[in-house]
Amino acid sequence: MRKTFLLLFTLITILFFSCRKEFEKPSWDTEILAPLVNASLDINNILPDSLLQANADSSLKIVYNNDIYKLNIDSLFVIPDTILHNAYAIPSSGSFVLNPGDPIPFPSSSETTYPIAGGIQLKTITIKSGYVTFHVKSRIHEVTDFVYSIPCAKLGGIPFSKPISVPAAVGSTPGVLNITYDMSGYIFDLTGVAHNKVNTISTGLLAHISATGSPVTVTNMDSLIIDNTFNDITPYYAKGYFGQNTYTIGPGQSDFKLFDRIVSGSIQLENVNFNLKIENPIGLDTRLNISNISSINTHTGTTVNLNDYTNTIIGSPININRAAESGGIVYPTYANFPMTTTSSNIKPVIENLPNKFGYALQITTNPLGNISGSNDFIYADRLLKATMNMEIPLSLVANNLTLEDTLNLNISKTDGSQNVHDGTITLFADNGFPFDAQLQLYLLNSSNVAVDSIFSYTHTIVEAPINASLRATGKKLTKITVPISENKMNLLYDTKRVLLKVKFNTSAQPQYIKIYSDYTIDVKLVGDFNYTVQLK
Amino acid sequence: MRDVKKILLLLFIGLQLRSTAQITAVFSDVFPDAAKTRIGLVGDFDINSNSITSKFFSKFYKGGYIDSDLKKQVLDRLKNQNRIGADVNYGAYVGIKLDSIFHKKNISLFFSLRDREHFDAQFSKDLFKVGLYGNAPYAGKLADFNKFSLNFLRYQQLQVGLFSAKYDSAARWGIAVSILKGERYSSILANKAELYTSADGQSIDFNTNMQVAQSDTAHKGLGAFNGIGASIDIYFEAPFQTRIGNSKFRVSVADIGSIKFNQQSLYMNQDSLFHYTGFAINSIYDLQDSTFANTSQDSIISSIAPFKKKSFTVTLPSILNLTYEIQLSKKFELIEGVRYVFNANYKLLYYIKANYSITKKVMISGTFGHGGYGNFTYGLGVFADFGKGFMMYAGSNNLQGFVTPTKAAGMGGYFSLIKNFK
Repeated sequence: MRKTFLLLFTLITILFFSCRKEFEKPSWDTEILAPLVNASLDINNILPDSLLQANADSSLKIVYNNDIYKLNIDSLFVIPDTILHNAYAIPSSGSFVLNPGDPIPFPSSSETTYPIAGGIQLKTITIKSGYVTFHVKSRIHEVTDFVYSIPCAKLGGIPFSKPISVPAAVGSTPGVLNITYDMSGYIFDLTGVAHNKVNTISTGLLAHISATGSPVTVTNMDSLIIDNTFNDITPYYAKGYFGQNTYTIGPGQSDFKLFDRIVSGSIQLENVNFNLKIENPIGLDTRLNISNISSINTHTGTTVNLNDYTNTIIGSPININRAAESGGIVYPTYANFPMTTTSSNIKPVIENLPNKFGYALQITTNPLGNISGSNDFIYADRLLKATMNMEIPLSLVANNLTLEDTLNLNISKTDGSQNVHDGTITLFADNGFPFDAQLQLYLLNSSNVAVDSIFSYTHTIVEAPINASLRATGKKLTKITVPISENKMNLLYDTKRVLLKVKFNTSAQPQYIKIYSDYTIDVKLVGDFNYTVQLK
Repeated sequence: MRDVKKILLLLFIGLQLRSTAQITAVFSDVFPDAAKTRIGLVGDFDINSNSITSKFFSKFYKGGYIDSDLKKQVLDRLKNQNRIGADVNYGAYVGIKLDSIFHKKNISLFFSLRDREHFDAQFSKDLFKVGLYGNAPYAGKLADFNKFSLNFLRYQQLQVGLFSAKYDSAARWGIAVSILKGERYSSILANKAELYTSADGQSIDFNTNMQVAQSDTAHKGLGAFNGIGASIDIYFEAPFQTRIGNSKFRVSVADIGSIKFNQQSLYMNQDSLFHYTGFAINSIYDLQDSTFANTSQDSIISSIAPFKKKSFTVTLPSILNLTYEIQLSKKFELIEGVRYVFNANYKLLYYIKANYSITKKVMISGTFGHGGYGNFTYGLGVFADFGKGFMMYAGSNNLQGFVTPTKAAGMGGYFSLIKNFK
């Protein structure tokens, strides 16, 4: 009986727990009304990557600097991969025996001078990166220990010197060794042992029969060949005479990011202050001849060449004096070429809304010859460059000026348990700017192709009211309600990227409207959705 | 939203949540003279509400789509303040008749082991409407969640007690002490909770004064040991004679005690107005970076409701039961009683129970009452003596939810299987 009861007890217990199964989760429909996003945006939030400065009257100007050209050190000279071939032979005739540890009577040093293209005569270089590779062949029939040195190459004041152990030759097959060393940071004195040469490398060699080897008979047929190759040498610093050469640069293009997000429309600027600044941190006299600077808008395909009415920049030689160097500090020279709306066509150049600038120029080095006594210098990270400095007062007329940006979107269904089916999104925009704005949001597929849109360009965020001085006097509220169908909602769930386009038009056209620092627009997005709650 | 779901889940999934044991069954059952040992298996569950219907509850518990008809059934029954409560208990006990203890005879010792769950909640009509219909219908209006309270407690109980195994001339008594293992606890008490959705949806205000407590969320399940406590149960029964027949007065108080939950428990006392106007963004070009990507649900919850880890003590829902029993004839017995559960959003339950012995070994009973978590309740039960020491109690004190699932909520059942050994 006791067994029967225990069995019954066990069965009931198992039955009880097994009945506590996991059920399906409940779900029901709700209607949720909630604010989604709010923002108070000033001009800093609307004009990306810009450096805005306020004028005394709190009106704003864009101060923007952009490099249009930077000299590359490779443009001036290149140190080619160089092989130093040193063949050392036993100097005496006949044969004799060398015991372990005995020195091998090879010549102890040698010098090699190399020509560098363009008449460049280097006295010193500091290696930024590069390698030396030794390929050694020994015909001595015993292991030989060498100390190979490049006395003119120093790192922290210590000459390059490496012990090398070369295998013994076997019969007529020489002993071979290949080994590579990093030369980064080495300073080369290229003036030779007597310091009266250029482009010259000196090397040294001390050789012994291995102390752990056996006595070996050597003849004048026993030689040692060392090929050391300098690979991928990139200088950080070089000094000497860089020759009188003319280099043609371009035509080329450089990016201009100020208007990157503007894809269409037009803008008229009341004024543009422009300065072409050339900075020369090279110890080298140069003469520039700029044949072309052009503003390129790849969206519209429009190119506007910069015309210099004074003929001081475009098409005229510009002499740039060499920089000075003292105690390792470089003192660059500068040349500034301001352009105004009267001295050039800079206004249409900027109003072209370029996303690139084109250039073509020639650089002549040492136009007056070697007047520095071979003391030209160059640092790889301090090179001649041409920069555009601009001040663009935000006093403008915008006509369908369209900004565009692609944003990542991640509206997750979480684990699929929550679903917004359909509803409306309402945009409340309280606009304090004296321009209207039309908003559009395109949903992109995986190929970045727009497959649907949220808003319509018929929806306009109305401009703020302005007074007689064309200054905004308050804000104007616009409410835009957009229905989101179930299909569109499903598309939103699957969309990973959206394209935002905002089209601006200023008030009171064709008058110029100034943008002030206190202008803001308050934006709120409110969702009213049919939402199915599904408990986890 | 996850929090809302949790609250709603806790609100309606009564069977996951529990309390009240039928301890009086151990005390009140007469231990036959011939029996020396008794083993019993007990299990009971009850859920009731004065507003939620059993059909709604079943759908919520078993899952599936809650349609508008089902929501409206409940909506039509809702009052300004509504109650729901549920208990599930099961376990086993062993009773051993002692020859003597403290120089007294006819005293029995018993041990029991039980798993116990209790859930109760009080909520407003607005809370149900916002939870089930959303806040859009409240645009421009205040949704009143004031006095919302919710308690869920699950614990395991190891009990040892003594009770008089035979009628004394004057009275029977019983007393038990328990060690409690706290497994899980959640509680929300919102003395003030008001939700205002602006007419155009541009802002949502949540004005609240509430305390929230939750046991260690990292350890869940039957094996979780998140707290420790103790409780006592007391039973007293006094027979007396009336002109009508033999009568008894019974009083029992169960689960007087508390559980202290450990330092990993979470506690929040919030008295604030939360004004929500959407995610703040700094640039139209940096939506992803500035807002959603860095806004996890946890960070939102943390900013709205900053929990801190803290130990706290939970007072058990204690059950008071008073009955007056009169033997009207050899076969018919009438019991009138009141029941109250402290700390549990419970309303005093008045009930009457009639026992009718069909034979010496079979008895049926019917109950009728008003109060508790519901309104009117009724139930049926049966007792059977199968012989050879086997006895069984089965029945329900809440049948109305089974009979009229669209109009009532109460559902329950109890089962007890006893074996007496000589």
